[in-house]
Amino acid sequence: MGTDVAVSPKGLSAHIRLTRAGFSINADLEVEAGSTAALLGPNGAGKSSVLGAIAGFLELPAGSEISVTLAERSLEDTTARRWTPPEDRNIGVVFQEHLLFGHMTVLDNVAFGPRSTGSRTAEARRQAASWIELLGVSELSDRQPHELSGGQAQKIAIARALAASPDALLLDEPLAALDVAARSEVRRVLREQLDSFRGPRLLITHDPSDAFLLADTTFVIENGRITQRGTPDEIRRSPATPYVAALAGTNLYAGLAAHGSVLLADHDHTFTITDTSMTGSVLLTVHPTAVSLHPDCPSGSQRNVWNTTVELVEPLGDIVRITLGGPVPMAVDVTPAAVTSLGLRPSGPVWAAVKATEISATPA
Amino acid sequence: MRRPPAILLVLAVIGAALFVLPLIGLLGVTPWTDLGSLLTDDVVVDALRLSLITSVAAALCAAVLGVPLAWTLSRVEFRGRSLLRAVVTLPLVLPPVVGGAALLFALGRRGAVGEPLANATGFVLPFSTWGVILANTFVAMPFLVITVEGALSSADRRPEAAAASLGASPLTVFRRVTLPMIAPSLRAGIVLAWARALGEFGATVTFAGNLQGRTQTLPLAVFVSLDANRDAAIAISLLMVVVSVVVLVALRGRWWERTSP
Repeated sequence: MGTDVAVSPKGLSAHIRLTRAGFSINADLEVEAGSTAALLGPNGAGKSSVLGAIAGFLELPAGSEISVTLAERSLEDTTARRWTPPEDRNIGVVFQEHLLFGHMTVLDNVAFGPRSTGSRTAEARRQAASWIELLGVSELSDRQPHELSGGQAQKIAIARALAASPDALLLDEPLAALDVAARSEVRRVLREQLDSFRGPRLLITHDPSDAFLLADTTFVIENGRITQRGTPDEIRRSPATPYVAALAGTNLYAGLAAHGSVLLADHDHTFTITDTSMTGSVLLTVHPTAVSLHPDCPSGSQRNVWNTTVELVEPLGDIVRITLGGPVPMAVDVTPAAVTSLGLRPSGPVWAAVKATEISATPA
Repeated sequence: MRRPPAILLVLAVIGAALFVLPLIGLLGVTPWTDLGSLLTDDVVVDALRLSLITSVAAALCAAVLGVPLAWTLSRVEFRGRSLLRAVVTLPLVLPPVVGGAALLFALGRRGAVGEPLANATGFVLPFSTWGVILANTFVAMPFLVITVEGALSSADRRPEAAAASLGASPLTVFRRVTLPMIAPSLRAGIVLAWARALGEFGATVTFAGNLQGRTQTLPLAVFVSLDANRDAAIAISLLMVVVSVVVLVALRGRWWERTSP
């Protein structure tokens, strides 16, 4: 406890040690003001407990050691017996289910924060209306929450959290309950709002593409422990555990789709996808086992084929992770036998091929 | 649909008859021609007025005191919580006469609380309209507490957490989030409490007596009239049936509607 961490004055830092029902969590997180950190991990890794501890929702089991500091204010420190109730932490939370108040209009939901912190009703409603307008959903103001679609409700939940002018923002799987179309729309709104939010933001997710698209730093949590932290690029380049390797190995590319072709945003390359109707910004996912490697240019139609070089050859248990260099950096998983038969070695030439059907595209 | 088992139908018919026959009996002996004059009698008008006032007041008292009690039983952990819950529900099984007697021993002119209260303020609860309201609240509140506590215990706690994260104090969360969430159960609890208070007899007659215009509610008026004036007793009984049915039917559509599974 009491570890000094170099976080800028407005940042969030949390040290969490607790054991509940035989499951223990040992996690240290620091998030700079103005930056977004993702807490990425599988279900049951302890992500929600971390969020609950930071927000003050969690009933702490005996023997817990928690310290939470936000904007130079110590919100909780079990060694000093300090505990701040959730309503005094000034931490905004967006939940997986929107949790809007069912008996209030959208406007009053968003005005709830300002009203609770002392604004008069009229002033609170005025503030709420301007947040709702900022998110581009003014037409929903007078609706009841049950009249909203999932995506609309989540946007209102984001507006509600922001309208309380929190010092930090926690997002608990904010996109997980949404369908594909709503997810990309809410993700867009979230990205805009996160960018303009000045405090630290912590995104809790099990989806690497959310972490990739929304976060500057990613903390990977497995079994209650932080197993790796870094930028998406750092994590992909040197995965610390098999889980991270599987997650990070999932190759993600942002690009622009038109007529079944996707021009990658960050790389000089075009992929062919099966969905010819998709246009505009997309996110491509290529699983490392979906890529085949060949010594010569492979034959066959409908395939994405390119010539590249091997950058890294890393054994990961019973598979070998090959990292390909330009034009498209990509992680590929092959068997040790294939490494031998193809003569794969760093800087060696190789042909890579992916079927169009193996590239999944989602609107981003 | 297949024919339902005969034995169930026979028992169901007998069960229904238990409710329907007394009503028919009541309608059969009703002196329809004199009904107008019987119901405008001073005794009846006073009793009706008193019954409506005291039952509504008792339902409101039950809500004002019972909701915080239910909240405490549901949300606050303390030693003796189970015991308190048992004590609160005791009036459900206790004969009302015993409840009235207990109230008299505690709050009567010579009671443990009643005597100092009377000495200090001159305020005497028994044999006053306040006493009727107190006795009614005593028997009616458990219905509200049980209904509301059930709703509080099964309610989703996450909206309350969301409200706290928006800066709402616990009291604000209770007022603006929790109460609206359990509103249907609260309304059902108030109606149950009111219905119980309207029919209350034993505790009232024991604790508050039977004074026309002050403590004589409709059930007491029926009981007194059964000896003296049978026709009046029948008319008042009919009046109670009508009042109860009208209120329950009016509320059923809005408040008692079962949510289909």
